Amino acid sequence: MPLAKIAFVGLLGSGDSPEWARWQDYLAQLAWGVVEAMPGGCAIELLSLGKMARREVLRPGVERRTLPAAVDARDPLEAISWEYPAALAGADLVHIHEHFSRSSELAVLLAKRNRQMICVTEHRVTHNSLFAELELSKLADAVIYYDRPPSVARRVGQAVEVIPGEFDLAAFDSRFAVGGEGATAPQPPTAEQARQTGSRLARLYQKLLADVACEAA
Amino acid sequence: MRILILSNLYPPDFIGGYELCCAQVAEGLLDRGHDLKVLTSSPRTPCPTQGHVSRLLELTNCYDPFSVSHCQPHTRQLWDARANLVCAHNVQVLNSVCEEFQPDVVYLWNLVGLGGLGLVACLQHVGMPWVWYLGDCVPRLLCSLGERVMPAVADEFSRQIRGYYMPVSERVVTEIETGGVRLEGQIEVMPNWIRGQRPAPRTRYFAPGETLRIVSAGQMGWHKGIDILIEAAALLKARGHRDFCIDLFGKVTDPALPALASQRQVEDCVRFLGQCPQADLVERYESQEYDIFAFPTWSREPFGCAPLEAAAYGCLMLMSQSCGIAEWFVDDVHCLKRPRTAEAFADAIEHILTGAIELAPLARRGADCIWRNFHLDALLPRIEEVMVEAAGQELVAAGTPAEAYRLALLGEKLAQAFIHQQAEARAHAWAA
Repeated sequence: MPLAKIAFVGLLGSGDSPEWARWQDYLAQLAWGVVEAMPGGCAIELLSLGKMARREVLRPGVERRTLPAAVDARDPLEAISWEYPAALAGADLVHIHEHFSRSSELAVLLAKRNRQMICVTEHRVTHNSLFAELELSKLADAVIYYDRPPSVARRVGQAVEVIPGEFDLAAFDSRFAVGGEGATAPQPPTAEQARQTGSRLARLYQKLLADVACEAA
Repeated sequence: MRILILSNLYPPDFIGGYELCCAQVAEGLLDRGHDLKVLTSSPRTPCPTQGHVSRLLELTNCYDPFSVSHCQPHTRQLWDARANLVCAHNVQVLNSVCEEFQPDVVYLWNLVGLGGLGLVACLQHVGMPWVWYLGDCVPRLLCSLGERVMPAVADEFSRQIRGYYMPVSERVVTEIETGGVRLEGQIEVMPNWIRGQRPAPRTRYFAPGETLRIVSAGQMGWHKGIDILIEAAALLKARGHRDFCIDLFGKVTDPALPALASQRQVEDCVRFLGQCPQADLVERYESQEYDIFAFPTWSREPFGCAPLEAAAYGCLMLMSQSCGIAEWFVDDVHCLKRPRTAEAFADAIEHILTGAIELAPLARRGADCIWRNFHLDALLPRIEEVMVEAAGQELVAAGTPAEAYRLALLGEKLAQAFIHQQAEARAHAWAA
């Protein structure tokens, strides 16, 4: 089986804050868990935005790629990059990890046009998002929830994965804290928890990519 | 075949040859027994109902010079995005019409003003075959905001969009591709055309000593070289010639042009005669009222229907050597081609006046060539063949019409968000 290429979309904006570093670390552990567990191996690119283009190998098979932002947006969640189309073009599967950013919305549009597999992790965040307004999750091939999925109509054939356990986005960005900014931040998942989640995702990815291979055959 | 034609404008609501040609080919296909529907925009002024024409699309305000020149840059960009990139409303209308009409193929014309890129993307997404008649560099325009092509959008167009293209000249393809937009699929250059019954051979051609009657028709603007005709007239008068006249038919897009004729003191021989319906113009040609159709147009002219029409009735075409229609005819065989300068055009006219160039043989050969090769009846079979080929493709849909609409809504809002962001960033930079 050829090496699968997976794009992770979503590093909460970019920057040097401790919260951003925790989120990057979490995603890197998640990606590493996928790489370890994926039969045949895979290569994962974490896509984020910044002032300058950059590539950095975080772990074997996991690379962070910073795309230059098109405009210096006040809110990092509003930023997009003209290089997204090229960055996503080679991926077999695109996983949207922060659906509430413009980048993620753009990634869904591009991935759908590219006929790529799309996974979305739903965080039940409606901040700044066209995801809820346009029900973009319906365009995904698989939706991942960290708790019980909402009882909404899903697209026929769409996979749903529920990963039990504590996951609070506020651990990575205080904007999402119940009680608002300034409230005590919850603890992020441990590295081990992240890798275990990664190995569950690997099984999901494998199934999705196998379905694509069957259809192509 | 069931053919859906998609055009931003449709007569009687039209601006130029692109829309007129669209209506002509629609009538031709209907006459040949095809089941045809035209989907176009709500007219800018009231139009009578036509059974096969649905005027349901929204045309974004890109053709109204007053509005365009009086709006803020930010507003203009939003209009451009809606005109060129995506208009979700129009995607939904297209979906509905396709569902109801069930075309075998969609025949695309000028899509500027309709969110054309979104419409083409929708057709691709749902696996609907299309053939695109390119009377101008429309794909390039659709990948642009204002004058500027957006490289990322052009790259995505080049990568994703594949179909059947019929450009009216090689320069249309060149202009599109120099903008960074690659046309993938089948490309077959297809000229514009004439219609109607061939009249009896022309009996009267200009002879030296008579008054040489020159005409030009179309948009009376700088890009069509009307100033060049005015300057050429001035040169001819300075050289002592009085035995010519130049009649100009069409809407004057810049009042500076009639003023130029006054300044050069050629108002006696250069007449701005206003707009003239196409049928009336043809009648004048048929009545042998003119000897030369002058066409000193700019090099990015995609084709030029007006000189073709005049030449069919025995008017000699005197055209810029570099323009779309010049690709289809041979200099000094079917027409005269000259550099786009007043001197060159004045020289050519002078040579005809003095008999150094004999007008009649050139005009006859031009007319013969046009009736033989450029009549719509001669071109329609090939157009049909291409459509049958396009319709026969086994296209796999990427998704449903509902999905295509959802993506259009997303694209529309992302474009708006990006433009707002740019405007904010500019305002922030100025404030700093």
